Amino acid sequence: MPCKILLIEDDLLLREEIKLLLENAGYQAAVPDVWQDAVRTAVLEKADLVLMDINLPGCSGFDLCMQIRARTDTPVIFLTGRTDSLDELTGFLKGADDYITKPFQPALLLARIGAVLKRSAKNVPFRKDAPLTHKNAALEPGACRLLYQGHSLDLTKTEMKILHLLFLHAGNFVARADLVEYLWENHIFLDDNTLSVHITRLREKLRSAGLDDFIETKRGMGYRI
Amino acid sequence: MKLSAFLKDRSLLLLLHLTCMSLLAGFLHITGYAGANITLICIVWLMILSLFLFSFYLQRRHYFRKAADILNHMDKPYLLGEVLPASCLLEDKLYRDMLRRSNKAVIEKIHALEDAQQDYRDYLESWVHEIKTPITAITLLSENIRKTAADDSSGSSKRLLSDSGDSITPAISEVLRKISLENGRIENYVDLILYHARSEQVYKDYLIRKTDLKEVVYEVLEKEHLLLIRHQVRAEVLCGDQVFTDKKWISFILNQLILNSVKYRGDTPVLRFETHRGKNNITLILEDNGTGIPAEDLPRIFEKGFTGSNGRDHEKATGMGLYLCKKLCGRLGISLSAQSEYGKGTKMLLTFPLSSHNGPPPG
Repeated sequence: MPCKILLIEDDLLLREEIKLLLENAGYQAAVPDVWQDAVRTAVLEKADLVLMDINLPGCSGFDLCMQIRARTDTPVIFLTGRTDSLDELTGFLKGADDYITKPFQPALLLARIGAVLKRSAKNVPFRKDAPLTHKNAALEPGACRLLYQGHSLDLTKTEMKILHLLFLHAGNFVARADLVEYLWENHIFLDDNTLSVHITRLREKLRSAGLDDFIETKRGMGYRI
Repeated sequence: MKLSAFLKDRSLLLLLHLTCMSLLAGFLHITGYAGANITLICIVWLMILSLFLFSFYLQRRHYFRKAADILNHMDKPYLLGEVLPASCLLEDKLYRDMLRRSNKAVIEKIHALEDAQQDYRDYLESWVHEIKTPITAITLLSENIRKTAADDSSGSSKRLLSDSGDSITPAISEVLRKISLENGRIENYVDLILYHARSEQVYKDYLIRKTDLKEVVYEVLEKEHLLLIRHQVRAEVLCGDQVFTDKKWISFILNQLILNSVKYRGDTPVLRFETHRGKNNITLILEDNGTGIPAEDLPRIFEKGFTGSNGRDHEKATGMGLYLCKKLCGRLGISLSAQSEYGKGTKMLLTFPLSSHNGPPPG
């Protein structure tokens, strides 16, 4: 059962895009058109989290947040273009759990949502720690190792993240640029050349466990397992 | 007020007295008055006159000294008319009244300007808030297509897919990446104007909180990741300290410094972030291996509008970024300084003072 997120945002395009982003991340997103009922929706539909703008036509996000707070302890995250410190303080005083300013990085929004959900003890739908398997090799992201035919390979953080993305897209090519971006999102700030070095080392490591040519390279396309 | 100047001012009065005195002396002489008596009368007259003039001089000097003193200590000198010392002289009263009326006009003008400026800033702030919604939408639009294309064929990626294709082409991906990049540049320019307006603001828009420097650096790197990856930048983060400061302002300042490092990068750019804990402060050092700053430019890089020889080679330099950083740092109580060796790289040092709130000092 995925977490349900109630999204209150008046900008149509942005609303659609955030909804997509949330759905792609494995959440269920509800987007009401009328915000005055948002409190009722939050209570009745038992949202796990409310994501809302502050400047809404006809009503204020601060008031909505207070009304929600009065009836339920559903976590609330403000998502707003207002970067004034006073607004941020008001947001927290009205009972918000987090305050994110636009424009935000999609990865950052998801990370903050995940953190708030974790704090409110709702099960996060991330399949991060579940082992991933492909061609008899099992990747254990939590333990940072790869299991293959009785071999257990200890991986560095960088190697783990590289393999993680490849496992998530098993069977498809992952472009080098996408791989570097994924690493940056995980706080590994390396450049294209350094990536090559890491891939080479990773291949050697895999070969030592009997996984020859596990990572396939195609010019202009990237890597694939 | 000098005595000589005062006397010069009263020369007409002195002339009148001397004329009267000589006329009287001549008249008395003709009537056969004794010469010694005439001299005595003139001496007494002169004594009375000088006594009067001298006391008048002292009174005037006291009055103007007091006024000058008040003026020097006023923080709004244009309000002088309201606080001039009382005087019983008609001239002083008239002048004071005129001064008041003239000052009132100035004050009204200043208030009108202040109101207009405040209106403009308020509008600018709300405009910035408005424009951030479309900027966010554009980022999400292109990132959603790019990121979901590989995952599955649901949602937005479908919009760009042909019937046969199962993922977007690298060319489309590249275009989307460029859109995100340009969008990021718009965002940075918008931030520049916002913080410029805020740096002038009288009221203090910041929220001092315990801030993890590593987190701030991570956030800024993440924000600029497309640009940094594009220019093959590598980054190393060795920050373990927490300081009390405003996170948003620090993010903005770091962002500007990083953009500078990217602008003046070398062949294999590396950014290093390090924190050092001193006795009374914590220093965040951003080190790059870029072109560096020539020694003769170094003392002036934080000046408004200064572009230096690096900047002139680089058409985009406005000389605003570092000036603004320095100004914001000043408001936050952080010292910002630069060390550089031309051709080797630049070190930017942000020194946060440690207060007792930061816990006991080490050792």
